[in-house]
Amino acid sequence: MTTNIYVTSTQTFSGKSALCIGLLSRFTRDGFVVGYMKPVSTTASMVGNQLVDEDAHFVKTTFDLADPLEAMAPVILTEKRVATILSGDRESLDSQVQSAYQTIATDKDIVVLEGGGSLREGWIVNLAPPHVINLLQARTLVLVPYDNDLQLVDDLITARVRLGDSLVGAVINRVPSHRTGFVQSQVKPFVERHNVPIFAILPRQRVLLSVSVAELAEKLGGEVLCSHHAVDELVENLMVGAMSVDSALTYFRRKPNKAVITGGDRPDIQLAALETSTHCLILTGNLRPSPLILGRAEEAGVPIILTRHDTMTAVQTIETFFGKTRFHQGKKVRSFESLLSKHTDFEALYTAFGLH
Amino acid sequence: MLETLFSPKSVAVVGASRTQGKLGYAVLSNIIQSGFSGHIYPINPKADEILGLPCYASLDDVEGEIDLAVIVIPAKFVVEVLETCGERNVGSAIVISAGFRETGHEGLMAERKMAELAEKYHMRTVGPNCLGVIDTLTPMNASFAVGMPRQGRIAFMSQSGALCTSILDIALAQEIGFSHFVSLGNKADLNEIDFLQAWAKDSESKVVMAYLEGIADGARFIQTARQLTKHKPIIAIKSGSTSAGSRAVSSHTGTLAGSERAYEAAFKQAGVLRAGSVGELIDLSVALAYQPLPRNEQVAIITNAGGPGIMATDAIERCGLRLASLSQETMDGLRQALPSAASVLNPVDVLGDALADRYRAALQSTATDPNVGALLVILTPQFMTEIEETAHAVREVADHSDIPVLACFMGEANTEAGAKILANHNVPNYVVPERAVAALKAMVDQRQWQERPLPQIETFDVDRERVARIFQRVRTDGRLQIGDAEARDILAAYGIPIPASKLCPTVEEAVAFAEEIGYPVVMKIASPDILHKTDIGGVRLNIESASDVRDSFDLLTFRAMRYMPDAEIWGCLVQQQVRGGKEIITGMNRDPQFGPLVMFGLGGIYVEVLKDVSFRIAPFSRREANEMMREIRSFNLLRGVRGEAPSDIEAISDTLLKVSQLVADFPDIVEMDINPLMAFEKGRGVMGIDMRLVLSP
Repeated sequence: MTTNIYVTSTQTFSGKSALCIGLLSRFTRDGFVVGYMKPVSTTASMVGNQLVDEDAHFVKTTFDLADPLEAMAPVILTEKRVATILSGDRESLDSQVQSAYQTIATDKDIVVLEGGGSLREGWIVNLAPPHVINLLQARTLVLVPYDNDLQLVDDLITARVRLGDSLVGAVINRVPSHRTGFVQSQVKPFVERHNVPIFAILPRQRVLLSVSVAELAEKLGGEVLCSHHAVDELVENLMVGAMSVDSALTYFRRKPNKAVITGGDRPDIQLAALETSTHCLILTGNLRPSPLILGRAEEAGVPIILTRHDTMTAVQTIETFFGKTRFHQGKKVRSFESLLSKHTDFEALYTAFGLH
Repeated sequence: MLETLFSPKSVAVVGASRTQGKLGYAVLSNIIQSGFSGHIYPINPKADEILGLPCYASLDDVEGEIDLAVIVIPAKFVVEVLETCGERNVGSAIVISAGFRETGHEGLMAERKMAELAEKYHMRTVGPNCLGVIDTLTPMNASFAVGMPRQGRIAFMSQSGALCTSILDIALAQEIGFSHFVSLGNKADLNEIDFLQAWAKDSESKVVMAYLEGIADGARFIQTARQLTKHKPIIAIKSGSTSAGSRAVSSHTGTLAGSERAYEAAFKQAGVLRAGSVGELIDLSVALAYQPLPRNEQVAIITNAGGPGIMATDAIERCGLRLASLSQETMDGLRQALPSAASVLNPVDVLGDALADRYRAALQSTATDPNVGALLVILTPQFMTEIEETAHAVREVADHSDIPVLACFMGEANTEAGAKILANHNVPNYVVPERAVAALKAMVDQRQWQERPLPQIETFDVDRERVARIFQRVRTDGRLQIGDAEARDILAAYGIPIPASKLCPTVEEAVAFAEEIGYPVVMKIASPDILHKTDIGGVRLNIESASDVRDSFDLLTFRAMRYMPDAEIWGCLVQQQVRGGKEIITGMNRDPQFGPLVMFGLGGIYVEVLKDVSFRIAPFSRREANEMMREIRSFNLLRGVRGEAPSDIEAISDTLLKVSQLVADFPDIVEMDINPLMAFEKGRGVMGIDMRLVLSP
């Protein structure tokens, strides 16, 4: 008998993919044969000439799964498809999802179903969380990120109301360290009285909100000029260098693992940034740095991204996606896995899903 | 040291060329023309003979020993040739070729390789990307400069090759002599410190003159220079002192220029005399190279014109020198020798119609006066003035005097002949009195520096382990910044008094502690993420009651959460409120070139508005700490003005020394501030009220 765990969340970019991967990894380690499926995909990209779901693709490679990608993400919502649906052509996708599920579930102990990015997703194709849960006879784990005390409690109870009896419990994510005590001692007992068992309270970790240098380069449409081997390094902070060089060092020392945005004509700022904990230099205005700087950066293993944007635009571009990027970096996966094993009551989770 | 570089017995020129206009031709030609008497081996596989010398296809074809290899070939072949040089036991190498770090990473790596080879084969290497090296005593001109300077006592090094050629040209015109002339280039192996060490032991070099853009190792530079300046002056230009200038240094050398304040402090602590321009560099060097140091800071002026005498007097006063009070004996002598209209008071006015003999008599009287530390002779060219004879009179007195004699023959067309005589006899001559006075000032500074003992670093009995444990804990938490709540333990470990205070995670604890220590108290937000607490309204003073404590606790945590939602909040620090005393700020910022640069100033407007601060590089001595305090303009406020009691200067100086010790003990502290440090009345000590600290990643 296959256990189907539907993982959903109350908002997007809350760490859902991370949780799915963390669970898959734990289950695998505990000897279960696992499968993964994302009933509705909204994050597709082209790999070769095939349209694939990015998360499914990452899971398939990470866990070396044999299942075909088409089954792992049977319904991909592209702009074109949405337009077709809006113009009235609303087909039922139930059978498509069901048959894909059959492929995935064969010979599996557990199938992790990565659900809607929020409880509001999927209605357009009639594949909203409650419907899918019902269709695939899954039971649900909800992930709720912490924004503030009130929102956390409200979201947990909303999940209970919307997901009904299928909800087995919740994982709370991104709790600032100074609120973990409060969440543990006050929120947890309260929502558990409202029938929402809490399996984990995960503290906020900057590295999980970070972006890789390669992602920065891609989003900025920039060119990586050196240290190509280090483009997978993760950037946790963003700083702008537009001051005198004396103040620059003091300023740059305030934040570790950062990207520094500055003009190509500021070798002093570039060198100051390289003196501190910097993972990437972003040079704006399409002004190439001097070979001396390139040499120093290469030696320090710090990639330099050259972009046509001015500094303001570059900052705005980065800010729109900071903390909202995919989870597809080994470093993030490992970091989340250790976080999960440290803070999760797996005993309770296994019991609740009948996995013993 | 560096014998094979400066006085080799044989030189190979790798890349010697037959073609005029090529560097390989210029270098070979210069070596030959400089009168080098050792073996010269031109290396060029395509030539049989260059400039009359048999040519060799490679270094391996040379049978004799090679002391020095001068390399003038394309960059990509340089490392390989250096390897061959090493295998052949070549003593030193000069790499003139360019195309290294200035072209990118590969070039930088090639330089690293050059340094490795230099170490492996004990083959010290100058360059790459340099003009070359000249030694006038050997003699040998292994450079592509135009001309050879005359022999002299000044050793010169420059980080700019082009500036070398200009200075050489000026020196040729002004007949200034050099012992060594070195273009440092990219400093892959040999750098300014190595040459300082070499010249410290070189009896031919009396003065070191330098143009620097950056320094390889600040701490070692200070150490080395300090030893050298005890017996020989170093006069240096450090360019890139403005922010635009420092940017230019960064793009020229690819190094982060140390801050101007760090250079100023470093030069002060190392006894390096700093010149502001090439003109001044030469002015000071010549005076220091050819005249004895002044006996004291009192200057006698001999002049044939009133106006220039007054201008010289102003310059003397302005820079901190003094006009000598002539002894009765001297004045009597002058009265006999000079016409009655002449002034026998300093400045001594020999009158406009003075001929050479009047100058000679006046000079002879004043030069032996024990009150006179230095002589300045001013001459304006008038109809009857005997310029050349006077020049001879001046140099005769200078030759027999044990105090310095500097001349100021004001003019150009008519004074030229006199200037030539002075130059030929090593009497420094300046066109205007201010330049001469600047040189005298440098000479007096040099004398005072030589007389002062080397700094003794005091150490206090401190608890290093405790600080190490705090740093360990902070790093384990993945943090680099240390706020007041933890930093106070560091102050305590280094014996700096702190007020009673406690980190209180809850309101109740805050109230209990406030009651215990008594009101009024200060409360500060405690968060490892908030170092600049006042920026977010994170500090409250004058808290007088338990209910005030409650309100403040809520307010401070609310503000912190509102302005810095990501910050981790530990609670509030409740602290005894200190009354009285003067606010002082001390701190440290680790300079990329010189390391721990410690700052001192009076708090509030004195630091923020007037920027009235002083700096020293740690570790420093008590004498330096005291000088640091006295350097600020507002120092008198600490001494007590208008009936105020003086502050506890000794306790402040202790604190500066403890900060110096702390930042020297822990190189991973990149920044720290004690702000404010309250200084109480004499005898009552100081107290560190707030502190923050940043560790290196």
